[in-house]
Amino acid sequence: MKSPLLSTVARVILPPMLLVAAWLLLRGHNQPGGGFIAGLMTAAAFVLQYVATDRGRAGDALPFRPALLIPIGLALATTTGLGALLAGQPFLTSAIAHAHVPLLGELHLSTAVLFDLGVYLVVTGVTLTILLAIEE
Amino acid sequence: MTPALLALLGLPLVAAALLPGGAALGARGLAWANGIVVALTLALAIALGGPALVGDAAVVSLPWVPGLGLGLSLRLDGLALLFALLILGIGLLVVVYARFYLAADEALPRFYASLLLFMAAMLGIVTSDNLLLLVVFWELTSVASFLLIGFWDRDAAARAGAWQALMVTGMGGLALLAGVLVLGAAAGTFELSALRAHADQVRSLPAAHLALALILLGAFTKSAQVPFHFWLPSAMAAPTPVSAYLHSATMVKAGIFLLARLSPIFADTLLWHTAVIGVGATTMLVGGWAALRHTDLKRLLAYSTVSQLGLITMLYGLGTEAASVAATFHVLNHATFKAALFMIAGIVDHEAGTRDLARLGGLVHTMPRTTVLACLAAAAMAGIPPLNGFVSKEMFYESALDGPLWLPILSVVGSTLTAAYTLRFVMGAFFGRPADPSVHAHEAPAGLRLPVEVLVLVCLAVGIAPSLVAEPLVTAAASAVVGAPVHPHLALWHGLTPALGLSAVGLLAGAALWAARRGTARTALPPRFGRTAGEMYDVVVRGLLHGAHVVTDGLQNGSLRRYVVVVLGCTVTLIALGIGGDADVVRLPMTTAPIAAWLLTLVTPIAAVATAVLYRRRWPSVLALGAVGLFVALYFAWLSAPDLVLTQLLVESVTTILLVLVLFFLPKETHTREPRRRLAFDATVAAIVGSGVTAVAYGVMRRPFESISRYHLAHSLPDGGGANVVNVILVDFRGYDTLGEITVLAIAAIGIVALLQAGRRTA
Repeated sequence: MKSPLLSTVARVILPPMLLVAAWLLLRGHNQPGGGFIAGLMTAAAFVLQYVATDRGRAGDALPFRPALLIPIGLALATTTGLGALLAGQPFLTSAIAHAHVPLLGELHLSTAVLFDLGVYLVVTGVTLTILLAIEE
Repeated sequence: MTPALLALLGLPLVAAALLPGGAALGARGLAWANGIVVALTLALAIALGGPALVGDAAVVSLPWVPGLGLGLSLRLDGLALLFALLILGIGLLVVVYARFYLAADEALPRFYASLLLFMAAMLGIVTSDNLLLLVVFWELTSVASFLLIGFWDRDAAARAGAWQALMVTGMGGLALLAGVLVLGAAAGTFELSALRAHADQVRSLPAAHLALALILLGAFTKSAQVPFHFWLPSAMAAPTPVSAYLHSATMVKAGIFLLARLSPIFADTLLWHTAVIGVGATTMLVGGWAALRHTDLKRLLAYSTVSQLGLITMLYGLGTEAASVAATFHVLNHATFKAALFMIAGIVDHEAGTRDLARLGGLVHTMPRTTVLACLAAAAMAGIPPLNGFVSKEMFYESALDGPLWLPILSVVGSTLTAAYTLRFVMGAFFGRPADPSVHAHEAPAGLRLPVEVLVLVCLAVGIAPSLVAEPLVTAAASAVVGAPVHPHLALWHGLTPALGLSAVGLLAGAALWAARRGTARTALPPRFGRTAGEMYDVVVRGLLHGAHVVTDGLQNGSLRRYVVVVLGCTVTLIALGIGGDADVVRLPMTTAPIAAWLLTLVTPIAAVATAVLYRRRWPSVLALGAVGLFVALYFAWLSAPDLVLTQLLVESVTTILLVLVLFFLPKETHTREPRRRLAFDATVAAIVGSGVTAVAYGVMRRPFESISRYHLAHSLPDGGGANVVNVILVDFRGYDTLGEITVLAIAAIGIVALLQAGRRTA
C-alpha cells in the first residue's frame, strides 16, 4: 500500500485537512459544516495517513487514545445541555451572546458550538477507535 | 403540607448511599451509624404521626413527572403510620440483632446499605399517595430484597433463592404496574386519595375488573400467596436478620398493605371477595400443612408465615368492618411474634450449629433463657392468652362467626394447623431428648437476646393491655382501611363467647394432631399432594430458557447471510405493515428534471451496482458500491443540500476505506462458485427487499404531509441563533435526538471494539 508520492502528499496535507475540519466545525452554525461533518473530515485525514504510510503510524502519531474523545465529547454535549437547566431553561436550550473583541471585531458566541464540539469529539473518537481496532 | 415527610424517606436513602464508604468504621461503628439513622427516622415518624392517630394525616405533594401523572405525593395516615412503626421499630431491633449475628469480616457496609435502601423503599410504599410512586418503591423493595437474600453470594442456594424471589415478585411487580396503568388511565388520576374519594365511580369503570385482577396478582406474589408462595421458603437462604425483617414484618406485608389500601375502593366487588378470600384461605391451609412437613426451623417458620399471611388476606377479603379491624390488628401482632421467632431460630442456628429439627432437642438445658422467650413468642403465634396473638384470633373468630358456616370451620382448621406446627417448633427444638448428641449448644449472648426480649415484651404488653397499648394505633389504621372512623374495642377477656369456644377447640385439636404425629419418627412426614409450586416454577423457567435457546439458535446461527435475510426481511415487512393500510393518497408531482438527469439517475447507479455484483473480487465490488454513494451525493447537490453532500461524501469515503481495510485482513478469496440454488435464493431475497424498499419509499412520499421546513426556516436565526438550518436542527431544535445519536455511536464503537477483540481471542 506504500507509495512515496502518496505518503509525501499525505504528510503535507494533514495539517491543512485538520484546519479545514476546524473551519467546518466553527462555521457550521451559519454555513454548511458542523460537528458531524468536521468529525468525519478529521477521521478522513487520519485514515489517509494510515493508508499512505506504514501501518501502525496512525495510532502512534496520536498523543492520546482516541477512545478517550468519546466520553469527553459525550460529557461536553450533556453538560452543555444541563447548563440550560441552571439558567432555568429546558434541557439543551442554547444561549447566544455577542461580544466585541479588539482586532477580531464582532464575535457571535453560542453554546450550540460547545454542543457541536461534543458531537465532533464523539464522531472523531468513534471513527478513529474503529480504525485502530481494525488495524490491531 | 409537611415537607418533613420527605425526610422520612430521604434519611435512610442518603445514609444508604453513604454507608458503602464507611468500611473504616468497623463492625461496631457501622452498626451504631445504622442504628442511629434508623432511630432518628423512627423518632421522625412518631413526631409526624401524631395527627394520624386522631384521623388527620400529614401530607406532602410535589410534582415529579406531571405529564405522566406521577407525583411525589406522600401521606402518613393511620395505616401508613402502623406500617412505618413496624418497619422502623423492627428495623432497629434487626440492626441490633445483626450486629451480634454477622461476623465482623463479612461485607457489612453492603449489608447495612441494602438494609437501609430496603427500609426507605418500604416506607415509600406505605406512605405513597400516588399509585405510580407506589409501584416505583414496590420495585425498589424487590431489588433491595434481592441484594439482601443473596447477601451470602458464595452460597449457591442463596443466589438461587434471591433470583427466584426477584423473578416471582418482579413478575408480580410488572402485573401491578399494568394494573395501575389501566386503573389510572380509566380513572384519570393516579392519586390514591382521589381514587378513594370517588370509589363508587372507580368501581363501576369497565376497566376496573382487569385493573383489580392485575393489581391482585402483584399483591399475591409479594405476599407469598398460593400459588406463588414457594419463593418465601427458598428465600430462607438469607442471613437470619434478613429473614426476621423481610419475611415477617415488611416485604411480605407489602402485598397485604396494598390489599388494605385498596379495600375501601374494591372491597364490595365480587372479584375481590372471590379472589381474595379464595386465595387467602387456600394459602392459609397449604402453608399450615407444609409447616408440618419441614424440619428446618426457618423453613417451618417461612411456611407458617405463608399460612398467617393467607389468614390476613382472607380477612381483608371478607371486607367487613370487624374483619378489617382484626386483619389490621393481626398485621401488628404477626410482625412482632414472627420477627421474634425468626430471631430465635437464628439464635439456635448460631449457638447450636444447626437448625434442623432432626438433630435438635432438649435445648432447654443449655439455653434456658432463650427457651423462655421461644415459649412466649410461640404462645403468641398459637394464640394462647395472655399474648397478643390470642386477642387478634378472638376477633378473627368473631368476624368468622358472622359469615357462612364454612368460615368458622375453616378458621378452626387453620388454628389447628397453627397450634400443631407451633408445638412442633417448641417441643422439637427445646424439649425432649437431643436427637443428635454431637450437637453442643450454648446460651446466646445478651446482645442477640435483647431484640427478642423487646419483641416478646411487646407481645405480652399488647396481649395484657390491648386497649391501652395498641388500641389508638389499630383504631387509626383500621379507620384508614375501612375508609370511615371505626371504634373497635380491643380486650383480652371478652367473656364466655362462642369465639372463645372455637379458640379452645382449635388449640386442643392442634395439640392432638401434634401428639398423634409425635409417636412416629421425627423425620416421617405427612403426605404431600402432587407437584409443589416450586417444582412447577422450575419447569416453567426451564421451558422458557429452552424456548429462548431454540429461537436464538434459529435466528443467529453464525451465518452472516442468515442475519442479513432476517434483518432486511423484518424491516421491510414491518414498515410495509405500518404504512400499508393507509388510504390517504396524494398525487406525486412528476419532477420537471431534464431528460439527461433522468437517464443519469437510472444508468449510473444501475451500472455501479451491476459492477459490484458481477465483479468476482471483493475490493473492486466495494469501490463500485462507493460509486453509488457518490451518486447519491450528486443527487443531494442537485437538490441544493450542501450539508448533506458534504456528509455523504465524507461518510462514503471513510466507510469505503474502512471496508477495504477490513477486507485486506480477511483470508484470501477462494473463487469457488456458489451453488446455483443459493444464488437464486439470494437474488430472490434481494429482489423482494429492493422492491419492498421502493414500495415503502413510494408509499411514504404519497402520504399527505404538512412541511415543517417553513417553520424551521423562520425560526432558525431568531430562536436557534444560526443561519444554517440543518445545523440548527441538529444542535438545537432536535438537540435531544443528536445527543441520543452520538450516544448510540459511542455504544456502537464499544461493540465493534469488543467484537474485534473477541474475534482475535478465538482466532
